[in-house]
Amino acid sequence: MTTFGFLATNGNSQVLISSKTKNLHFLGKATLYSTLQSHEGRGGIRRWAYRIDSTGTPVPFFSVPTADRYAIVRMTKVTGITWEIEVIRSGTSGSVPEVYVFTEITGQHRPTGAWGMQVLNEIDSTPAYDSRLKPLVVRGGTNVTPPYDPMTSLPTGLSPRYCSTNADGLFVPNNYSSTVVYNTNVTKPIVCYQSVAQTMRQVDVNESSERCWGFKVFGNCVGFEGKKSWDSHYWTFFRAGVSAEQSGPHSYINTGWISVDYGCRNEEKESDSFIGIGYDDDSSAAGNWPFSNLTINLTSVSLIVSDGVLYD
Amino acid sequence: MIKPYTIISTRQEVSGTGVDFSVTVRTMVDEPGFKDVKLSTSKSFIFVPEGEDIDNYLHNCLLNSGWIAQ
Repeated sequence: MTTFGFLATNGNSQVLISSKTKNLHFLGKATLYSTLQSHEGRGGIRRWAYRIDSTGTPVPFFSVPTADRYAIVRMTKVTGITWEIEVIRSGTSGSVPEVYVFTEITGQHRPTGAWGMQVLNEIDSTPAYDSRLKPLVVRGGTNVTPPYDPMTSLPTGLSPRYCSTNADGLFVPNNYSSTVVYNTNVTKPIVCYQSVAQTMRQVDVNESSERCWGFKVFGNCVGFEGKKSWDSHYWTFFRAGVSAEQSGPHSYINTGWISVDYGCRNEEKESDSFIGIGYDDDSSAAGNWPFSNLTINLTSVSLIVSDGVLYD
Repeated sequence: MIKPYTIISTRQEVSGTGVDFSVTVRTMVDEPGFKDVKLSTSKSFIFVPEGEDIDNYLHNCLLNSGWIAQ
């Protein structure tokens, strides 16, 4: 154990700066690279890719310009030092979030003044903190979990025939859980939250008809009989996301779901018989779908709130 | 009481029970020249929070969603 170094704590004895650790500093805002997905139904779906050059591993925060739910779903190094960060959002607003990127101090960080306070790491003497480099100021944090079900009611009125119902208004993720992060006192909340939980909801609707061209004796058809069935499987896939709204000194967080993929599969079967003698084949199916009506990775995920105006 | 739904399976989840269920409606169509029996079946899933009665919760959910009538 070292007997020298630097340690600054707050009133709750939480570490603010330490020569034993490395602090995150603002690198810059990632640039909007492309819109990967846009859909107006199912609560609204937006997916964007942002890019930034960073020699360190980026820690992204996003702004929340609307009351919709947001999340980071992917972060990959695409080439050299270029990182791509994917952000999803519910809702249909044209507003696009800003992505603020923080890393440990690297050669990319440029001091904004000639004086300030610098703390060196006591192991390798690299800068651990530099007041001239816009260090990350954490204004609050909590753990959040979405509710198990993404919707508070079941989709209804779905047609079994040929997926002919537009289910955009029926699979709308409206269920969420609420958390308050007290005394954040931020002007422009920016949030670090990675989507971990996933869920899928499916409604299977079937219609089958037996038609007898003739007459029935004790329930049996004498004459031509036709059986026909239609199946449609409507589904939507969701990822967890958060909204963050500032009211007075507190940040109000709702954790819910964002639609990210959807579709429908349909089947049609027909069989005929004459005086009870079938002359068309039946079919059968069994087993489970690989991932159906299931919520996975439903664990507490940490959420950090900072203030975007410190870095604008 | 005849339940207007069938519970296909249940599974224990964190803080509740996952319930797969189906609802079937049978309609008789009797027209000159043929008889038509139409069956409409819908299957889906709900999550029943811990402490709730599964049958009551499912029944109310189906009523509120319009899957079954009062």
